[in-house]
Amino acid sequence: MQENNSEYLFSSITMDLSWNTDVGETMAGFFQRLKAERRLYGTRCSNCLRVYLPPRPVCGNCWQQMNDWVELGEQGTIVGKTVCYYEILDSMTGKPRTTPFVLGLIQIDGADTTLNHFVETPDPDHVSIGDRVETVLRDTLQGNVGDIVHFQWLGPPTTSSQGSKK
Amino acid sequence: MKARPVAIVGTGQTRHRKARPDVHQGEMVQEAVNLALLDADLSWDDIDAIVLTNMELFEGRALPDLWCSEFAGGLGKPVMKVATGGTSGTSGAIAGLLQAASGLFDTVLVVGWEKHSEGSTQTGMSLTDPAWDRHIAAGAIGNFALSISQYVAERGVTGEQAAMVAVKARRNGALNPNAHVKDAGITVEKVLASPMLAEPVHLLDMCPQSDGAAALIVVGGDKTRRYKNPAWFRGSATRHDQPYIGDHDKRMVMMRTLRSAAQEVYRKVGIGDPFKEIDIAEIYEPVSYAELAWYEALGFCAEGDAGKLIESGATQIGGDLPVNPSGGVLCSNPVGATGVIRVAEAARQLHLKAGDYQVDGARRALVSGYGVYTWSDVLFFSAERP
Amino acid sequence: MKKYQQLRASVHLPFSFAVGATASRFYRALRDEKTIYGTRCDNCQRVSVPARSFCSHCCKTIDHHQTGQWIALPEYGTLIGWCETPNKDGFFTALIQLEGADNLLLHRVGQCDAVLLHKGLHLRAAWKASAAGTITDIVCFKPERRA
Repeated sequence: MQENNSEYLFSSITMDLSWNTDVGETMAGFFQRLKAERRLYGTRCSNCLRVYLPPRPVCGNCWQQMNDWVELGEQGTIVGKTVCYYEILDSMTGKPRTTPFVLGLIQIDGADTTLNHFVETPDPDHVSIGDRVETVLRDTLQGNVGDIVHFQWLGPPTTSSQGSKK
Repeated sequence: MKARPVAIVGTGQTRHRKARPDVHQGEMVQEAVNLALLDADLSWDDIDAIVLTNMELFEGRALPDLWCSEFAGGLGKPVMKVATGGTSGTSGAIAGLLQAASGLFDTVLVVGWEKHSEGSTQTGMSLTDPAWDRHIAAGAIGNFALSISQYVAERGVTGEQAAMVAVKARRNGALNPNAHVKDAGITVEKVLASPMLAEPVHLLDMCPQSDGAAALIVVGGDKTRRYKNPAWFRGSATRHDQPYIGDHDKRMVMMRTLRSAAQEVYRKVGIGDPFKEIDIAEIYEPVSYAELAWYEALGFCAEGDAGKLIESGATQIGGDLPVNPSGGVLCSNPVGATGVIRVAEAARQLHLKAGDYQVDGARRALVSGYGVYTWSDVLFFSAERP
Repeated sequence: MKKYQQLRASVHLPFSFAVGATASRFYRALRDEKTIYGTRCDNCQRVSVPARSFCSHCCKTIDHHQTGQWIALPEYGTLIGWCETPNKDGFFTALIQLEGADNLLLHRVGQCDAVLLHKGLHLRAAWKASAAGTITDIVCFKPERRA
C-alpha cells in the first residue's frame, strides 16, 4: 500500500496483460498482402463504391458484405493536421511518446476514408491541409499495422504528385 | 404498449474534483446516491431498479457493477450497467427513463461515476482495436485536434471564438459548487496564453479529467404526483456510427450522429426552431471547439454561424438560449458520470433548484451526449407534463 | 496466403486506486497496531471485517469515527472452508470466521500439515515481521490449540 502526504492509502499496481486477438479474415488478408507486396489494400462496397481503409468485411453504411479488394496508392493527401505537445503513454510499451509530434488525417490515393497517423517532417509548422505524404513501411515487414511506420511529408501538391481519385 | 409519462424528480452529485483519495469508487457512488435520494425525499426501499454507468478501462478495474452496485443500494435489486463511451451517462439515463416509461418499474435510480485519478485516461481511451488503432494512439486530444483542424478550415472559426466558449464555461462553473474547474476571472487572453496541447487546442480549451459521481431518480405513474416541479421526459434519440476516426468525411463538421438524433427528437417533440423554442441546453462539449460545432449540428444557428452565436452572448446565462449554465464538461468530466450530470443539470433547471446559475423561465431543456463521434444521444425534458 | 491471423496484444499501464478513508484506517492499523478492525452497522448491528464504510444490508453509511462503529476484533477464529489444492506458495485459500465478526474473512491458512485442516479448526493470525499496510501483513492463519 502506498501512502501520499494525506491520511489516505492507495493500492498501486502496473498491469501487464496480454491477449490473443483474432484479427479476422479481412484484416488478415490486408496484413498478408501488405507483407507480400509492400502495398496497402482497401475493401470496396459494391453498393456505394466506398473504399475502406482500414479494410473490413462489411460496409456499415449499406450493411453490405464487401468482397472486392482495391489496390491503393503509395501516397496520400493530408486532410486534417495537428502538432501534439502533450505526453501520452504508448499502451503497448507503457512509455511516453516524444513530443512534439505531427498527427495527420491522411487520405491515401484510392481510399475514401482517412487514416490518423504520424507525419514525419523536418518542420512541423509548415505542414498544411492539402499537402502530400508518402507511406513509409519498415524494412522487414511483419504483417501487422506496425509495418506502417509513418507518413513522410512531401510538401504542397504539384501537378505530378496530385493523387488521382478513382 | 404505450409508454407512460415519467419524470426526473431527484438528482445528486459529488463535488467533482481532480482526485478524491478519501473515497474508493463505491463510496463515491454512494455519496451521489444519498444526495439524490435526499433530493427526491425517498429512501432506499423506494428504489425498484438501478442503472449504472462507468467506463472501466479508465480505472482498469473489471466488473465495476460487481464492486459498486451494493454501494448504490443494489443488494437484492435488478441492476444493469450501460457503457457507450462518453455517452454512457446519457445512455444510462435513457435506459432508466425507458424502464420507468415501460411500466416495468415505478422508481429507477441511475448512477454514473469515474475516478480518472486512478488510471491512465488518455491511454485507456486508446485501448480499442488491438489490430490497428492501438498502434497509433494519440489520445482524445490529438484526435480532437485533427477533427478541429478540418472544422476550422471549413468554417473559419477562430481561436478567440473557441476561447469564448471556455470563458463562458469556467465563469458559469464558478457559480456551481460541484464544478471541478472554475474561474470567475478567466479571459480570452488567458485561454490563448495557456499551454498548447495539440494545435489549435490550448490547455484551457480542454475538459479536465475528474473524479466524481452523479445520480438521478426517475419515477413514473402515481409516484410523480407528490412532486411540485418534475422534469418530464419528452423524448430521446440515440445514434451510433462507424468506429474509425477517418470513416466519414469531416466528422466534426458533419457530426451526423448528433444531427440525426437531434432531428428525431425535434420531430417527436414538435420543435421547429430550436434556438427559439428551447430554454436551456446542457450539451456534452469535451473541448471548446466542439461546442461551436454542436451549435450547428443541433440547429441552434445556421451552418457556419457558430462563431457569431458565441460572440452574440446568446448562449450565456441571461441570453436567449443559455448553453451549459452549470459550466458543462469543460468544468467537470468524470466520464461515466458526465452524461448523467448533463441530464441532472437540465433537470435541476426545471426543478428550479439550480441556485446561482438558475435560468429564468426554464421550461424546456435539451441534453446531448457525445461518445467519440461514434455515439450521440439527445434527450428532451419539459416542465409541462406530456 | 494465411487465411487467419492472431495478434498478441499487450498492455502495460500503471494504476493507483484510492482505498478510501475507512480502508486506509484498517490497513494502517494492520501495519502499526497489528490489529484487525471491523465495523459495526448501528442499524442491524452486523460486524463486518475488513472494516467498511457502508452496510449494504441496510443501505446505511458506517462512520468509523463514531463510538461503537469501529471494532477491534481478536486475531483468532475458526476455519469455515478452504480450497484443498494448495497455492503455489503452499498456503490454502480459506474462509475464516473471526470471533465477533458476522461475515467471513477471505484469507489463507497454512504453516501446518494439510491433513489437520477441518471445519471448526481454531486459527490464529501469523504476522509478517515487516508490515506494509496490506492484507498480506497477516502471512496466514495457522492452527492453534485452544481450551
